[in-house]
Amino acid sequence: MNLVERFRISTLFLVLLAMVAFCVALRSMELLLVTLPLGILSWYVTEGPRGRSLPRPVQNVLLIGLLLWAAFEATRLPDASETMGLLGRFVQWLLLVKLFGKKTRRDYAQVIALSAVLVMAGTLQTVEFTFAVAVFAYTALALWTVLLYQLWAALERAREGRARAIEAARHRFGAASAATLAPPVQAVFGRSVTWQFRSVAVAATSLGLLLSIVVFLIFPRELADMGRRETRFGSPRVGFSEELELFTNSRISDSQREVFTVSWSDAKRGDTMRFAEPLYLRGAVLTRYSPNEGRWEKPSRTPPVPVLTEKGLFRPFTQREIDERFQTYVQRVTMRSLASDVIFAAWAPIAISCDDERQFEFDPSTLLLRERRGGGVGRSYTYSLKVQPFASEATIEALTKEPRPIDRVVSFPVDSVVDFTRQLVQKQKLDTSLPEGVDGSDTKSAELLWQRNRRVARALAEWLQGPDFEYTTDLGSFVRITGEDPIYSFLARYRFGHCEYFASALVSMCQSLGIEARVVTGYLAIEYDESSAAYIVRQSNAHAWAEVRVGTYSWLRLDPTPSETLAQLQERRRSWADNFRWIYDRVEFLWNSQVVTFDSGSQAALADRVGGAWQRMFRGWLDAAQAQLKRLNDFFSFGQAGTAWLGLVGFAGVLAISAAISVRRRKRRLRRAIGVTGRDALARQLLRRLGFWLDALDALDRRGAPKPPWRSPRDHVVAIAASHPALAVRFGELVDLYYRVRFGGEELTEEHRQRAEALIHAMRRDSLGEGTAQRSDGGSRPSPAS
Amino acid sequence: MRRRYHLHLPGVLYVALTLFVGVAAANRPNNLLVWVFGAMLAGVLISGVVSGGMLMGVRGSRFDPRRGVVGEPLVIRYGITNQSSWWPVFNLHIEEMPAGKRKTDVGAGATAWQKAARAADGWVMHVGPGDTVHGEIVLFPERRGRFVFDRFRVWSTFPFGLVRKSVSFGQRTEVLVHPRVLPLKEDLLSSLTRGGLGGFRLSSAPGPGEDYFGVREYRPGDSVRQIAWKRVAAGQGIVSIERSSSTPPRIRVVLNLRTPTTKLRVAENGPSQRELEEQAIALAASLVSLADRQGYEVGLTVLGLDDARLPSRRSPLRRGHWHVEKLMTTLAAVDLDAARDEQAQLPESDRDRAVIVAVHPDRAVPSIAPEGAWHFVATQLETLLMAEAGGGRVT
Repeated sequence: MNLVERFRISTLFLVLLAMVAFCVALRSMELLLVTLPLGILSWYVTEGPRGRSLPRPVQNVLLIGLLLWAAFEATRLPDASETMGLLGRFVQWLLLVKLFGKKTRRDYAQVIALSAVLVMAGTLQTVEFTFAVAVFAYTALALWTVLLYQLWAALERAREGRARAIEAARHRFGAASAATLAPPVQAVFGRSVTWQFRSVAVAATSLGLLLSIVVFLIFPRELADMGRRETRFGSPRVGFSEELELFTNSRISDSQREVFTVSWSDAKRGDTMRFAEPLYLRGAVLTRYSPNEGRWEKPSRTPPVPVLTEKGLFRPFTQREIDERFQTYVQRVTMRSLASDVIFAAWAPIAISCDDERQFEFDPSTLLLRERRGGGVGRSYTYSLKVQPFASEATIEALTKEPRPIDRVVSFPVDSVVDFTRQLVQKQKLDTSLPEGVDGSDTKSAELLWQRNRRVARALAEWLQGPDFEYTTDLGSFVRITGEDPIYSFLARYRFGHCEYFASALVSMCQSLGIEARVVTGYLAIEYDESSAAYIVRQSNAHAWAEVRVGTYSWLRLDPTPSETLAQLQERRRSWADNFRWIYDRVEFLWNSQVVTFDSGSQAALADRVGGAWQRMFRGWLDAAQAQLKRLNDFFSFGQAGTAWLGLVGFAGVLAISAAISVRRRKRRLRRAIGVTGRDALARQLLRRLGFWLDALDALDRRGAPKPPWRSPRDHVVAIAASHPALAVRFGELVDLYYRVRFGGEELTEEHRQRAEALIHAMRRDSLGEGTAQRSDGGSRPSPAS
Repeated sequence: MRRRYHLHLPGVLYVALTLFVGVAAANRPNNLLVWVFGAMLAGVLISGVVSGGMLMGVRGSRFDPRRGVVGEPLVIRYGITNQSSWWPVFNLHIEEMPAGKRKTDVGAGATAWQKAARAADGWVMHVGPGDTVHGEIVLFPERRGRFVFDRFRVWSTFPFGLVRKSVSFGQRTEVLVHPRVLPLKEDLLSSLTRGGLGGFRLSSAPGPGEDYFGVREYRPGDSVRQIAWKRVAAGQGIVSIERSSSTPPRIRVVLNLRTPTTKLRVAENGPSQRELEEQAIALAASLVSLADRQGYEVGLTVLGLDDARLPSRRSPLRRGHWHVEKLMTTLAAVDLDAARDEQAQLPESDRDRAVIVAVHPDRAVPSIAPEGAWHFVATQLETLLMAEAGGGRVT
């Protein structure tokens, strides 16, 4: 198969790759399973032995049908952000129609362009690593295919052009005329065409990759960073979310991708251990429920406390003294695939340490941690936290600084949930009341309040963990009822769901009863790897639970999700492929940490790093040069004027090199002009003697009558005789001399040399002083002066 | 040699799309989109700068195609050389640029090629570093005459089809296009020469013919049948009979161009005056070609054209490829705009020992040729064609 014939199959692979990439972006296996086999089938149907294709009218009908379908779907889109997804699906079906149709040059160009649009639509959907791999592969294949298309389309164009011309000639001169005997168009090529074509493709790909990386690094990102802050999460979905939406039913991830690993050790003894209970690693705290959107939102943020880490040192989150003698552990987190600025920590973190200098923000009201964005180059890092799982009131007081006031007007904004809770309390005969006059204003009163909160919340959590409720991540039958809150649907109608529903239900019921509670999202570390002595936290370990306030500084963690069911589900999801998953996870982590999160801060850090390195290198060179100069000066004992001498020598050296290059270039030109390729004595002799010929040709150039390479010198004299008579006479004499020396073996005497110089000088002088204005065709007209 | 960059619609669309993606990348927190933008921008840069450099070392020259014939493909070949030491060149299109543009003169009696021919572009897929390959374009001349090729252009959109770069080379070439040769009836000439002077001529040399030439001494190897037995019987020794060489029939085609074009008589709705003259030339060319193919000695006289540039207004009676080429060249070079001699007569030397076939544009003028000459007019051409000659206009 020659180069041009490879184009068709290359285009098919390109389209199939674009389809796979888009389906990966859309996470639509169904679409992939339908369109990919059809795309492969199209090759057999159109390029197979019978070579059938869809007629144009059928293609047009299908296109109209697709347009109508897309228009109808567009009216039903719930969100404008899904427009690109719809566009991509439309393009994918359109590509299939095109693949089954007859393809001309234009059709192939459209197919390639549509595949690019498909990939572009996918790019606007996701930045996931798997999709990125597909995009890179697509780009390389697209480049190869476009190069092939250039050749194939040119051959087709030439053939079509000749066929048109033959047809016109046949029409004019008759079918039996000799016009039909025109030779067919053949691909004309030189030696090693395939190898050279591949070289060009590789060079273009490499150069394109290099340039694209440069553009990627210097592209202004300020606007995009603003957009990033407005989005929920700048990185790909990793199970964890800082917000919790109950209207979206398909968000729970069951991916086994490693997010990070956690090793747990005793701070005092330093030995790694497995904690007695699962680790609840907090990432976000959500207190307010928005019934219109079915979403839990973060509370208004208190001013964070900045923390700057130093290598190997723990930086405490408070200046006040914290007793670390008892039950203090070190939680060491090694990031694997999460590119996020959230720091996941077990309750309650008291200090942080990192590999290098980094800035963190500590929120005293929620005890949450976050890395301050910026300078994010090389985000694959490890951090350690000192935590106290059973922190005393004093410790929490030291961390939070100010006591949180008791919220006396806690309520939940969904009446149906409030009514349901009250009915449940009555049905369960739960005592939720407080003695008369208890408002938490004094210590005794507050203690009664906290006891009530603890008792009621635990009872509600136990009720949720009871047999009436089922944990599942399959929410296919959790149909949203218009006008009905999803939490009420979960409590009263369906009674199945995942952790977010359980946590939301508990918190909503607590708030309905006036109990301060909040939803916490993060990760649940339950898979302990004995060989590495660390917890492996996977994407599917993202979890949500509840915290109920049981003290001035204390919050009681309650997980209403049936923990046994959760653990069983985790075990059941594991497969043999997960044992090799770490390789993929490492690469994906690099992608997320180095590419996806690359922002303006990263750019600045990179610029500093590169600029510093360059400056150091330049300074190093300068110092080395000065040292060498000094050594030379000392060696030759030049004394005070040594530097000046060396400068002069260096300048002379530069001049000599320039002159050598100039002579070499002139010799090469002369070789080409006189047609001498050998390196023997005769060739060297000719090169020495025929320098005047190059000057003569240059003079002709200046005069506007250049000698084409294909014209003999004698013919050129004749050709310019009409337009440049004087020039032709002088050049003719030089041609005679040239022939005598070049082919006649005549010696170039001093007299000849002087004559040649005089003639060339006259030719040059004529160009300046004779006063002829040159026409573009090489002719001349006399100037008014002449 | 002149290099140019041309605006190219796919390139404009691509740049617009690149800008669109750039704007999207600037406003969306999507680094993959930024990379895609970078890759697209790199495509523009590579296509514009790097591939433009590919054409820097390209040199081209046109090979003289010598001659063409109306209605037959005229293949013009080009030598394309890549002087670069490293970079190969791909996807080169070759096209002839219209001659006579940019104030250049095509010359007296010559015509710019684009006025008389339809060209199909040529294409060369690859020229390696230091290589020379030959490309070709095919033209279909629609008129006879002397045509001028001034410049040709080599262009490419490689590698991505975004930017079109071209290098043009100035090289003047003149091509003579012979008149169209139409397939006349095979028995046309035999019917003209039957019984006339054209079929008879005394042979001047011995040869393999059938007529008696003389006797000579017997040479070993002579056939027994060649021996003149009566002479042998008469005691004159063994002598052989020599036969004369073959005496092909002779025909002289006289193209009557005495009457100026404007004075020609044309029928209503018929061909124009110039078309009649061209048809007369085509008929003369067809007669010459047919005569040579059927073994006649043929001569041509262009009567009444006062043009010094014409290679030969009178030609001797000869046979063979080169002789016919000369006659065709004469017919191709006929400049119908040249002055006419309305009193011109066929010279005496052209009147003997050949069948005279005179071809007239509009009407027969018997007085230009001796009695017994045949006269055709241009409009008879279609009736003289072979039945299976097919359609198409007679030019």
